[in-house]
Amino acid sequence: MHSKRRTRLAYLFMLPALVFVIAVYLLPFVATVAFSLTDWTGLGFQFKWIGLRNYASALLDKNFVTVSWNTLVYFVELVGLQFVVSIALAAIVDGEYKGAGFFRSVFFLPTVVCTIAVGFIWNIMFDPISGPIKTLFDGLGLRSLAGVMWLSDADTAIHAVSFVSIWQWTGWSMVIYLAGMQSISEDLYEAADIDGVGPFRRFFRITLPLLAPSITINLVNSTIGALKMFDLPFAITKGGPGYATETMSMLMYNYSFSLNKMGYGSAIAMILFVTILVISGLQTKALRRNEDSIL
Amino acid sequence: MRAALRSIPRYAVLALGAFVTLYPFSMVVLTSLKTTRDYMRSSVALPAVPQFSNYATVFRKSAILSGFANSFIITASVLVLEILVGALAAYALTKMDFKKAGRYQLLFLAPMILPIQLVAIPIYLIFVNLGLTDTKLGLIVVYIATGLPLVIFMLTSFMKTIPNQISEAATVEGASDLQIFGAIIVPLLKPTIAAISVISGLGIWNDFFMPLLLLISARQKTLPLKIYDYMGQYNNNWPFVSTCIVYVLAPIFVFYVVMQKYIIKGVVAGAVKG
Repeated sequence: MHSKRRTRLAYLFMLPALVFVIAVYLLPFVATVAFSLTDWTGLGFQFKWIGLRNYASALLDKNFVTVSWNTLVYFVELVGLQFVVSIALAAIVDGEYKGAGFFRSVFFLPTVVCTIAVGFIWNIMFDPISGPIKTLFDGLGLRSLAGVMWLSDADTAIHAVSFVSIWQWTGWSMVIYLAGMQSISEDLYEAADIDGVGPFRRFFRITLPLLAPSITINLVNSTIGALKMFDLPFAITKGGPGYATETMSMLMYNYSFSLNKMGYGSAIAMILFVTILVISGLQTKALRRNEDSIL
Repeated sequence: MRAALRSIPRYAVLALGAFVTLYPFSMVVLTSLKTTRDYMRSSVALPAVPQFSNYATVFRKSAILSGFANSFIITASVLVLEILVGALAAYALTKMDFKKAGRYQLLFLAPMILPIQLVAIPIYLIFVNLGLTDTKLGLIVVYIATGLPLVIFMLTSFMKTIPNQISEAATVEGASDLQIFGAIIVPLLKPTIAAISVISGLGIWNDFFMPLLLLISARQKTLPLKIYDYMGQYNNNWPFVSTCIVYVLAPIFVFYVVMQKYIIKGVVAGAVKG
């Protein structure tokens, strides 16, 4: 086979994919870096190069500081709680008993629903006048909880949004943990049974360590999801009350498309990107080291 | 008997989990059959008289059918094109003795760490200048690009498992690469393609951010944007909002029940180690 001709053919086969990646990712990425160094409004072609001033003004921007704090809260809650709940659910549905398959299907169900619909569903659930959650607390006689305006109180809104996000995405992590659990060799469990190891020690000594690769995947995935969150707060609270539930993606969207500050918006997009890169990079490194120490 | 007793706590936890997961959906179905006064009286009780007329009203006012049509056209077009484009690239990366395959594979997978928000502003500006905003074509182009990393990842991992002897034998027989690709490789890909289609398709069907950015007119809007507009308008009429949600849920639930096997397979196969 003429290998030169074949190499040319290989490039031809990759060409369409290359065009898409370059046109939609590479060039726009370079453009975002450039925009972030200008004071461009996005209207007309007049702009000045202002160096890193957009990045400096972000640090002084009260809204940006609030949103950074929110991002940290989302990150801790979504990654931490979803990890605990999804791994526990996976451990429970990992078995050959009656109904196991049914419950797996149920727990995964919310992930296939459009997040905008999920946002509105929980708007009704949290309705402070006559919503089901208020009704539940009233019924239990918990007056003080029944009176909480979950989505319009600045102290509770962000946690309520976190809760809904966990409600929606736990099934996704669960499925990945379940696949990891099912690839663990039965021999190990049998050996543990012979040694008379109880179910809890079995889980912490065998299952959990051997799940390390699935844990890496899930933690990195939910970290990226938490950092760039947009749809859910947009649908459920519009970022409010005030900026209490606003995310970095929403702030970038508002500055760029509602307030015509494309330069500044690009700088926020860059900050979001670098944050994702640094945190998920550090996580992958730490978790990989953890994997290597076990396997 | 003792085994049965021991499984009680497990079923209690499962039942609680299932209730928390399913109650919001059943509440929406219930609310869609109420009048606003019914709902105000109690959000958890059954409707006094089921209001099936809500479905006709919302169907008419929200013009939800065009949302379904737009989302369907976009999702179907993207799937066909991204799988074709991705499969060609994956074939070049795995079956053509291509020396720089590793480097190019990395280039194709790199966008996985680039959030769409990072490139959204330039894409918007380019599309304004090309007249691609407010068109289906514009969204289709974006989704092909955002879908490709996963498609190429899943297809290359699968193609690597196909033994080279098959294609080498075909080469000796005088088959060209295009023939091997079409007649030998693509038929073997069917289960992987099914898994990619459901997982990638769900992402496109449910996406909100890019349509929000690129679509303007009611005629072009996709389902999530359509329902967002409608529900925003009727924010204080929960029965109407619920009816709208049920319209969105019903087809996706049917899809889930039928395609569950492939969806789960897609989730697991697409779980990329960062």
